[in-house]
Amino acid sequence: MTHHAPEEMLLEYVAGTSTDAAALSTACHVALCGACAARVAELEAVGGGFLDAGGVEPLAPGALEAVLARIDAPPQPRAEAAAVPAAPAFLTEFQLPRPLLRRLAEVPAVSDWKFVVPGMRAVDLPASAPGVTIRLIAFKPGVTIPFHDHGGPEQIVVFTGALEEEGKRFERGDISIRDSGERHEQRVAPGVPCIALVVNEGKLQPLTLRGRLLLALSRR
Amino acid sequence: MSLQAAAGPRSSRGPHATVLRAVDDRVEDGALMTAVAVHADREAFGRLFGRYAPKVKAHLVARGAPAGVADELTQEVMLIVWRKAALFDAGKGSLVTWLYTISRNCLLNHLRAAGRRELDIDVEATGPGDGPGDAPPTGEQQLIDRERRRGLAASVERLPPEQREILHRAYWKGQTLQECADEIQIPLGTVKTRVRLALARLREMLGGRSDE
Repeated sequence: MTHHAPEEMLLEYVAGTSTDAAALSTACHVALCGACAARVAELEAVGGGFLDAGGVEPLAPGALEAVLARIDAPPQPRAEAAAVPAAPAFLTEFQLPRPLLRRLAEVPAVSDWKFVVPGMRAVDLPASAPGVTIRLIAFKPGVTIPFHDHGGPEQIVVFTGALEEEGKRFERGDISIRDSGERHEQRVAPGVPCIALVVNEGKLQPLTLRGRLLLALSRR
Repeated sequence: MSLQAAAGPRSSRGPHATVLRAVDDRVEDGALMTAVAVHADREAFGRLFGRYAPKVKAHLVARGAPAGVADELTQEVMLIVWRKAALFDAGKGSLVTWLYTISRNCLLNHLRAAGRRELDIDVEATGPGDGPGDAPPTGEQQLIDRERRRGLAASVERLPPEQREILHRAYWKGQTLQECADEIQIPLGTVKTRVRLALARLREMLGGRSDE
């Protein structure tokens, strides 16, 4: 459990070996955390060093000419894909980071939160591996997420409001990371709703009756 | 063995010559990139291509791309260098760093091309000061950051071999830390520890800040 992304997580992110889910949560955290963005820049520089010192592999003949020919061709529409999509109207006030907006843009016609359980509404986001759940969740202030375990890594990035656990407080930009076997109970801070990206690379395992009921309810 | 001896007979002017040559290369990279960005200078692009495209390809091959795919992706990387040259900011980092990130993105996009999404790392948007709420870094701070990062890359060679090995596998071969653990036959926790030690060591060698 941390407020920053651990070094090994940033390394996999920079090297491009993170799972899709971890890459998304890392990207959302890094977009909002100057310290981790600085670390990413450092780690990328190390990557540049490896590229520079790693040797050479001759290209197929005519490679430069082929690229020059492509320069003259009109750019493909895909070049536009990097533009930042606008947030759906019901989410504009939360100033969501770009990586999340891009993922949201993959959901067709998302126009409102979906009820999950009392105190919790969500937008389901596409995941690229089976068994992985990626959700933008709106927690009602003051609710408790009952004691539970995880079947795989869990990452939470907070965008508004705050989550509290074990005396620690997670606010905008903070990332909370749990591995399988790390049980916890979280409480949403009173005051304003907490909007957070919640990534689970395994199934939630509720450890209380209330948690089991809520989970059953959420699956309906 | 002295550095000079290690550098071999070609660098008869000693290690400084090597360092200066590296500095010259970087200054020249910046000038060539400006020529590409501002004047669409194909000759400048050709020189950058000759210098870096074979390195990009070597990296892609090391990450497991078959030769034909590596050729195709290298072209794509260099095409992005041409098209996005104006976004390259020599104040933020060196060209090889930019190339590393572009190569990674192109490879991952290729691997995910079968209906998969693109990787969420902006080639132009990483770096300190991009997070909302951060004060923009001063020119001086940018310079310090940039030099630190360059030093960081150069210091990798001085790491203990078992730490360097992990970084090499992760960065160069594109192995996950779990794959590193499996191949070296050590626990994942040990791999993570080595990563942390390696990066702490790199920062220490540079006398850098430790911000935790």
